[in-house]
Amino acid sequence: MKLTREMLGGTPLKEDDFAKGKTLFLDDKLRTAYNWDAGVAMGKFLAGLKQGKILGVRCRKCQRVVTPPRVFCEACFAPIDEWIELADSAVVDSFSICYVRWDASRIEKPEIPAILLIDGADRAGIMHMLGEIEPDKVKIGMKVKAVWKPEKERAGSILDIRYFRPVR
Amino acid sequence: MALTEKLERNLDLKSVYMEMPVRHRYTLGVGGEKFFRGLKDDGKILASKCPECDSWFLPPAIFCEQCFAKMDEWKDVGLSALVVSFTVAHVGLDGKRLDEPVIYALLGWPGVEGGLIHRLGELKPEEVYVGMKVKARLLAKKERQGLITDIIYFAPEK
Amino acid sequence: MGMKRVAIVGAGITKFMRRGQETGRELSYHAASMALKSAGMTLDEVQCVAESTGPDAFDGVHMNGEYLSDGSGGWRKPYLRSYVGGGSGVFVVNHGWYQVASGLFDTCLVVASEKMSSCHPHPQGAFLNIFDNFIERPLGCNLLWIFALEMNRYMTVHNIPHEQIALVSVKNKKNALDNPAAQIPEKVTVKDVLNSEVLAWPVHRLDISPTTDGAAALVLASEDVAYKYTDKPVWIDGVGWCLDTAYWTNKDLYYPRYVEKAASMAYKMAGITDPRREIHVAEPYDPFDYKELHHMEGLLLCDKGEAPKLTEKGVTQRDGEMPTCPSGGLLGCGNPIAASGTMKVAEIFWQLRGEAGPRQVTRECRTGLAQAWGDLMQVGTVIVLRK
Repeated sequence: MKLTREMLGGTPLKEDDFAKGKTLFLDDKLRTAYNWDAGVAMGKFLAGLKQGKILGVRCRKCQRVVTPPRVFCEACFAPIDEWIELADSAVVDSFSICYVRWDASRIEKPEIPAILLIDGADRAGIMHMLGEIEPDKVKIGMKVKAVWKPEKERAGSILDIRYFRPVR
Repeated sequence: MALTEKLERNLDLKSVYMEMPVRHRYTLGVGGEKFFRGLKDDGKILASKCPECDSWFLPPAIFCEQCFAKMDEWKDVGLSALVVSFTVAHVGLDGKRLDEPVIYALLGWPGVEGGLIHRLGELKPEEVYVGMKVKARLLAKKERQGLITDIIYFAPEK
Repeated sequence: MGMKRVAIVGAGITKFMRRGQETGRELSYHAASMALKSAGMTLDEVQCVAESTGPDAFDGVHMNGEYLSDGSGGWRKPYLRSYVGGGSGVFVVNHGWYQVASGLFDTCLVVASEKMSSCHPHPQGAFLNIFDNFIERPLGCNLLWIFALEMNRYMTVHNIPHEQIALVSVKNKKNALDNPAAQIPEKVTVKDVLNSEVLAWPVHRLDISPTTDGAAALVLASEDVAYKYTDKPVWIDGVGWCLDTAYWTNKDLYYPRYVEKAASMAYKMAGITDPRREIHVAEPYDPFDYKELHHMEGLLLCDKGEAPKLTEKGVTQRDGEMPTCPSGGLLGCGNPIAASGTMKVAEIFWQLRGEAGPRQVTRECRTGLAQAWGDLMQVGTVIVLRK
């Protein structure tokens, strides 16, 4: 059964069909607002950030040290109750240089999101931004350190860390 | 309030309040486009017929979901309908009490399967009964947009 | 094992479009009715329906599966929707498979439909919550980041230049020129890809497949009735699926181990011990060009890091030893999230029957494979087909 265009359903519209009134439409906004609970583990992690600490947890069964913390090990399915303070330094596992926002609009100064493996954890990390570095100087494997907001400005948020900068 | 502000002010560390930033622009579909143009341009309510099932359907569509046949035959069923069922709303979408109750009805047309949901107007809640004859009141043609609200409500047929 | 053999006996797809006039339900109908017609099966003979569609937030329709069911032949039938992100398109066929293999039903209509153009300003808005609300969203993240991070890791670990990766985009967009359903078939060069706008380095605009409205459908039949509908049934000999952790920053993104696990499950069932020799045509998931390579390695079709070299040598062209994405893939045809994978299964179906017309691969093929991927670098879904 060789495909031909005639066999296929579908009526493509052009970008300006709406503006030109060629196609009727209905605009609506989903009324979605959520109040998400942090959960037990995340709540404690955020409290740690307020104190200027990056916390991790250790699974008693497989001995993995991971962050972000969780109350159960997803690999062993065992509960976790051992909390550890990790370093606030990390290794860059990957990074990107981003020139667009999520709605596809362009931004002037590129942002550098990165996956950062936190020192002290077993190949576990978080996503955060890199700063104080030119995009073309970033390398996978670079050592970086957290730049914190001053204590009185910290609120128990991931933004209590402004960004990570190269270790000099 | 910007998301970052919300999070920075959340000293309870317990929860964060956010929205999903989406809105939608719905096309009406090939069938829907035909139905709503009928309403907008001609002030008509159209139904479609399934040749296999030998039945007329409202709202109309380009195919019959019961037997999958294409529905090519359409007709004007008129603005007069019967109240098949109804309810009286005293509370709005936001959970607050309405100043005036609103009557919603399922409207049927004789010889047509299905029907339309709309409001009833020009009558009091206690006057509504199942089987009542009502007729669609339309907006003036230049005000119609090709939406179900081109019908203001269905009112008792005098 | 007590299971019945299941065959695909018909297939249908719609045109893949940036924005279609049709509602999701009408798209489902077009694909489903085309599939039924191709098998000569009536709606009455369909005993159950398996459907997949992307997040409700795309279409902006709550309980989207239930809404689409009327267009998918689900009226008053045992109907079930399944969803694993982009992996759905292949998983929904697996889902249909086990409904028939169990012996509970003789026939199943499988439909996958996506109407993501309704979502404004960009379907990405519906996806933002895939990130952690507490430690990721506040950074202002963007779905492109996770692909860029994965692509960078893959390129760096194996030392792959972007030029080699861009060859996939060139190949697939060119293959799509022979696919009447394709959204943006076009001839591009490696230079075009590298010169296209940088979005989130290393991702350029032409490295990515577009967002799309579209639907695809397949008709499944058990061994007891398959020959009633076709004299060339294509048998589902292997199915596999695997979900990895949602803690995506805790694993090395250079290799999709969940694809390997899903593939191993399917190969075991199909009695395949040497996929490189025994798989004759493949449709791995290619929402980004590097993903085709990433997945080829996860599917054990070559060594880790070897896929770009095979592409450069022409092995994955239609006239090569391991033709890959002869349909044009997502890069050429478009990416209607749930329907993309099902389109790939349909392509393998047509290839094995020798019905792919100008897209037909040169080599003899008896066994083919389709794979889909989804979520936060999480799911692999695989199907192995044999004629």
